[in-house]
Amino acid sequence: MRVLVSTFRQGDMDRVTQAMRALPYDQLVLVVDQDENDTEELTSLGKLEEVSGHMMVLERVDRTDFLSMVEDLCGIILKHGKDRQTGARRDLVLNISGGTKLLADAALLAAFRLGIAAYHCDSDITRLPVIYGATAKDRFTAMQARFIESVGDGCSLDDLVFRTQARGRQPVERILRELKKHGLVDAHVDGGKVIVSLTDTGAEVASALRLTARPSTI
Amino acid sequence: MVFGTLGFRPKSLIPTIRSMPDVEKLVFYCGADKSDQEAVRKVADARQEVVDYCRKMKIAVDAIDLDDPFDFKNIALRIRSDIRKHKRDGRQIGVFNIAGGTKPTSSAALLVCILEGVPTVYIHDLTYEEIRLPLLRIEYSQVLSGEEKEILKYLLRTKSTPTTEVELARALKKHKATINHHLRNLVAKGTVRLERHPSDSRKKVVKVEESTELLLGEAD
Repeated sequence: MRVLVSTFRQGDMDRVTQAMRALPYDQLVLVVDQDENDTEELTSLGKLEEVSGHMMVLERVDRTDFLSMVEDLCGIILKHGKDRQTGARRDLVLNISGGTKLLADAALLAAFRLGIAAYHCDSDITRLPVIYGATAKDRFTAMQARFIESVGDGCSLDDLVFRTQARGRQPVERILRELKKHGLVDAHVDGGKVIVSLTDTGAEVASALRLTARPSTI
Repeated sequence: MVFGTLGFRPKSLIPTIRSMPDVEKLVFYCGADKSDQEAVRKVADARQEVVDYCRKMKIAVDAIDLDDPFDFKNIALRIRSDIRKHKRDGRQIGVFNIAGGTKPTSSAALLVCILEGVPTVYIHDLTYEEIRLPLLRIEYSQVLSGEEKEILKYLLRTKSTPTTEVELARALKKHKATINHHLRNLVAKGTVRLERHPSDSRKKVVKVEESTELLLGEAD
């Protein structure tokens, strides 16, 4: 089963049909804003899908917070990237040319986060330079990834030695320095203890690592 | 330096100049659908307003008019080339505001920010809140091996000429089996594809995906 996930809002009929023509698929999943009404274009696309024997799936995302949108989109991609009954992997492509600017940008970020095939289908079809399967975890060593995932809402360096199962404090201190240099973690002394916390980018990396660590990752 | 994209609303860009300390220069990209006179006028007004604001604040400004603000690929290539040029000149890029402009312009700018590791902000179109996007730079140098990059660069340089595996091996002075191994990896990563040779159906030619040009940017 091949799945085409496309962002959409009223007025994007041509962009979505362009993607439907250019990208081979079996099932169409449209991602729309929470407040998108059931418009004539949506009904028309639904009917086009019915003719092919597949039902169009509509997924709605809340647009109040950009990063939550990215999370929601990643969730939608992961959900449709596998067969619910058998758990088998499905070929999935993403088109980001529809929807609001915010939704399209969130979809682009989600594509890079998950390393999935993504396109911008308008009058021209542009394939985005996402390397399949390349995700946040490729950027870090196993120990660095474990460190980021272990920080959570913030903890002491001693806790991190325990949580990462490191061989002592020294390797953890080294990783702390490396990740601090990349702007992923902050550290301060509180009551004689070194307290480590994630920066905004670090938190984004942690959630990207969590997503790509799931067994359902596509 | 601050980079940005601009549509009808100067207030989607100006707050970023104010929130950054010591901005020396603003570079922004704008453009409108030329068949829509109303849009052309609105973009021109917004452009002038931003230029006037910068002049009064004694900030150097470079307003770049995009020929086609809906041409995603060429906008991305243009922005990436400009960013790299400024980096080479030793300029520090403080932030890229991707809030304004057409949807392809904004998405193309976001793509470049991901690839170049440029700090990115967004002005929410409902709340007008400046949102810093915590982007993780995609380190393709770690995802692609040196040999893979060498192959991709060669294929990009010679993309108008059909190249077979054997010809590629000869050109890069590598064993055919080595090239075959790397090509299989590159196909799996979605950067190249194998197609039937135009004049000899027994052979296959290696075609570089168009997106690879966006991925690698100008030849390093």
